Amino acid sequence: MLEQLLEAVAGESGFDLDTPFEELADEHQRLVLYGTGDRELRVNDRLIARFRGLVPSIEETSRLSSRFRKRVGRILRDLPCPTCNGGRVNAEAAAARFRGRTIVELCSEPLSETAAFFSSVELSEREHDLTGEILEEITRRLRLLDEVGLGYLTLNRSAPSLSGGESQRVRLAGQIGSGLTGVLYVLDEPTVGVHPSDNERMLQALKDLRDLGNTALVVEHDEQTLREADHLIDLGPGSGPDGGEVIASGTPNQVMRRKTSQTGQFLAGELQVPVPAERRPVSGPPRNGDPQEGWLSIIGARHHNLRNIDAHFPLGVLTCVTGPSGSGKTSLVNEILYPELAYHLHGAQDVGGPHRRILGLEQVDGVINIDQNPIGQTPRSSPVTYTGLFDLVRELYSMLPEAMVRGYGPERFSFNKKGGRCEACEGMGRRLVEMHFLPDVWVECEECGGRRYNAETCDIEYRGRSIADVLEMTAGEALEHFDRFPRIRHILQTMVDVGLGYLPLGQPAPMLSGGEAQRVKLARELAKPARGHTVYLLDEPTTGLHCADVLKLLEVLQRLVEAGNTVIVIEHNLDVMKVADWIIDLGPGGGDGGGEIVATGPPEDIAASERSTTGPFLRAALERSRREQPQWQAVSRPPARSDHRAALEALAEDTQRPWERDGRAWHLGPETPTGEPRQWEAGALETFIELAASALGLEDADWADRQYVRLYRDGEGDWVARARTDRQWDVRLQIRAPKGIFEQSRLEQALKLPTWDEIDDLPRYGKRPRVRINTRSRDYDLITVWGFFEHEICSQAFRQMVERALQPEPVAVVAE
Amino acid sequence: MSGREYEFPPAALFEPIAICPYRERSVRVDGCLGDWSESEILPALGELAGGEQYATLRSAWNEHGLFLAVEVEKQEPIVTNRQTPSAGDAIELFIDTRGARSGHRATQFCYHLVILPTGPGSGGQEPVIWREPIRRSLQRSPEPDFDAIRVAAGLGDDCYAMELAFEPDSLHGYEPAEGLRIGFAAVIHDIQRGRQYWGTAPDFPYERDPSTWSLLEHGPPDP
Repeated sequence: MLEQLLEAVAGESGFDLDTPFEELADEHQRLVLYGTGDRELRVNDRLIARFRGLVPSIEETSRLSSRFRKRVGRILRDLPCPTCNGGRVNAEAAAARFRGRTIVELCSEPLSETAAFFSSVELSEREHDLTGEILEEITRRLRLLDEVGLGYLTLNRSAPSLSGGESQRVRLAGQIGSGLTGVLYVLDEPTVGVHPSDNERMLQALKDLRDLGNTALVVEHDEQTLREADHLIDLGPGSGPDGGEVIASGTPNQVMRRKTSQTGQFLAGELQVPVPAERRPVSGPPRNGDPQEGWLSIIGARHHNLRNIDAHFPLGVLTCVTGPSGSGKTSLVNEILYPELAYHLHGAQDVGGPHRRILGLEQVDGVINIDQNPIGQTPRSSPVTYTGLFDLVRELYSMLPEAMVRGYGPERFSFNKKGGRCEACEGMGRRLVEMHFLPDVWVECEECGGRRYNAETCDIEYRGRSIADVLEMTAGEALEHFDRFPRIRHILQTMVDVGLGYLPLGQPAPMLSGGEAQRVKLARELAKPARGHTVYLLDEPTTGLHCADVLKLLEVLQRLVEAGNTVIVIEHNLDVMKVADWIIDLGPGGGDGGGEIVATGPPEDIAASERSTTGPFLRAALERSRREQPQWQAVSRPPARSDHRAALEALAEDTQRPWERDGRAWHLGPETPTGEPRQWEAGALETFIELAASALGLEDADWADRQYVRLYRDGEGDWVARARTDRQWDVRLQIRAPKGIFEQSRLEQALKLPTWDEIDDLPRYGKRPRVRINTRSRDYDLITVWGFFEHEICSQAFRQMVERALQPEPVAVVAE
Repeated sequence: MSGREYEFPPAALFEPIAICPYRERSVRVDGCLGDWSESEILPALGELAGGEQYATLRSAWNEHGLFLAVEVEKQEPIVTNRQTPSAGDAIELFIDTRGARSGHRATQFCYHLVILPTGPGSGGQEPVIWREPIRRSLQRSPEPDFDAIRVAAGLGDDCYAMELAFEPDSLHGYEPAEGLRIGFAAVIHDIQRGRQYWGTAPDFPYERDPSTWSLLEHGPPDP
């Protein structure tokens, strides 16, 4: 159909569908892009069509459905508008010049340059009268933006493309510019993503706010900010349930004297991230762009502001990519290195930004980018589900004696499936209430009180805690709670190792911060079997981490390296830089002032570099730190399944599941396994089993399965008759009969089973016969009867059918 | 026949207008498709939506009304679900008797009809039809005159068929005439094979947006 439609478009417009787009005449290209408007094309005598064209249909479809918006987004690129060349203003406005510069030119250069331009402007008296105040305001605001470390941004940069830290600093500059007094400003980690060189200016901006008569309340982990604060409040002592107390309060010096304050101890230098006495050896980097063993090289990178640089990443070590904001770190690592590795190693679709080539790929087996994107969009996704921990926990709960007695499988403990979850909120724990004229609100489910499960499911407890309680436990608590189960312990230990010990396991994914999401991903990767020769990429993994947690995170990264992997980290945190084996420092500034590799080598080389902006800060950090040789261990292997299984089975010792204990009662009971009342007559099943057992000369059937009752010829091999009993409205009876002895229409006539439609008072419909013969197998014909009433199975015809189908000659059968 | 899956929906590239041919004699609505001709089969617009193509649609009109037929290949028993039609075998029709295609909100001329091939009718063997409200409508259309809509289902070994006849004014604003264009889309639900679309596409908000439905033009009477 699509071909017919396209041919109609091409035929009526006079071009050939085989002609490449670039070779089409302008009018035809325009037609492909913008369609035929209201003109209707005759496709054939039964179909007319209007061709919308690519651009309008993409625009229209994107407006219609968010799913398409996302899908189409992958194949679309933003390009500057051809009319204004991306300047956003019309020709008249673009023609106006101030001292020879247009507004478009001024907005497209780094704002530090724009600020310098306006500062250098000298005005005549008349000009001053006209523009003096405006110019002063422009200069002041640009200076404020520059002071908070955003000098590399251009004024025309769109707000959504700013990072969280950048937007926060833009707002901060705006607030300082507003000149308000008596205001309480609350800032959450304003130094995230800020290079140490910009930190001082950022701090100065905060002090300016204070000096205007305001109060700045900052949640922060950054050492320099802590040192310069007027007053510190240290909360702790631990995280999650172990926190929540004020440990110290006072000036930085007072807090330093508090031995119980971990923050104070870090400030005082008592606790610190030690610098390794000996770093891992790295042979000299390749020269002249030649491939070299042990190195992964990007040659001729020129994406965004990168200046045709050759970047060499040593393999098997911890490499830190540093440099001021906007110097090109993300462009190099996330936009060239990662997509290229993913493209070559995993067949990903996206390719990296412009570069000449990449060398050393053959030495790498895989790449894992541990970014700060959310782990999921819905509240159904949480750390416990994302790390695969919940599958193990649900399995554990299904192995508990009480669960076994009740016949609960792992699915019973899922909040995504019917059965065990609270149906009032469908396992969400919350319900959406639509409010007229007001935004919809989420309220806790009254039925389950936010626990997500129904009361029967919550009855099953392991060491006094139900599955709902597990979702509320922190990773640290759970580690203690489940310490007997090696595979569960392994995943929880990795979560604790990456500093997530405080995190509730069931915390909905949308409520995790970027840093938390990143560490959940890291924990998941760490819990997997180590592969070696994998490149791990992390963008600022210390975001939101306390110094003590940074220490833990570094240990985890070092363990990955010890297992033969390569870890490449983009980072501003000096604690990470000083323990890295290798540093690639970009700069020297941001935006057009960056894009070069300023220094590369072990941290000591960077510290000694005169050109590096990072160097002086790193030098100071190295001088402050003590050196010791830590003993890192390679990342541990996940425990064997057999050990885990043994621990689970020990739980269930001597406990039989209900179908194992009394299969007959289970299959003939008043409810299906999902708790719905069984509607078909139990006598139908009993009679069928009696008939089949008698035909086979058996005493009874095998009732010890959750779903099926089976009969085997001579009591072994593959089944020859079985009944599926877990459905509410029918019991499905099946027999494997010798080929060709039954014929569909004759069997229907003989059994005289009414169709569902012909049975009154049953809310089950269908005009199909209730007996079907499937002849697809080479070895047997499969007879299926959808049974309901006992009297139908007791009939003479049914008895004869069963006896004939199960006659003594064995039927060759193959496994299903 | 199995349809292709597309990255971008080709259905979005075109505004198809299918010709609903004129027929002199009205269709006998009895569930048997013997009195339909090949020329009344609607173009296979479902292929533009992707997915498996297991149903064929037919349409025709005359002064006595609009006739539709849907033939669905099916070997398994029919299962219907009145509460959630999409969880069983069902047919959904979307009809805009004024076929404007300009607005994104339904008007008083827009209908969403659901038909089950079997159901709780007399003895559970008769097809069932009812109207579903359309969300975010500008105006709610008047209740269809179900006495003026005839429905029949026929069950074969490998398929089932549904026939429908809409008399003039059975749906608000429907007056058959040559050249009349009505908005039309159909979604066929099959419990085993999923959905087949005609005149719209999955992911389009077709349940509420009549601009995502195709058009059916009443063709001229044969000379």
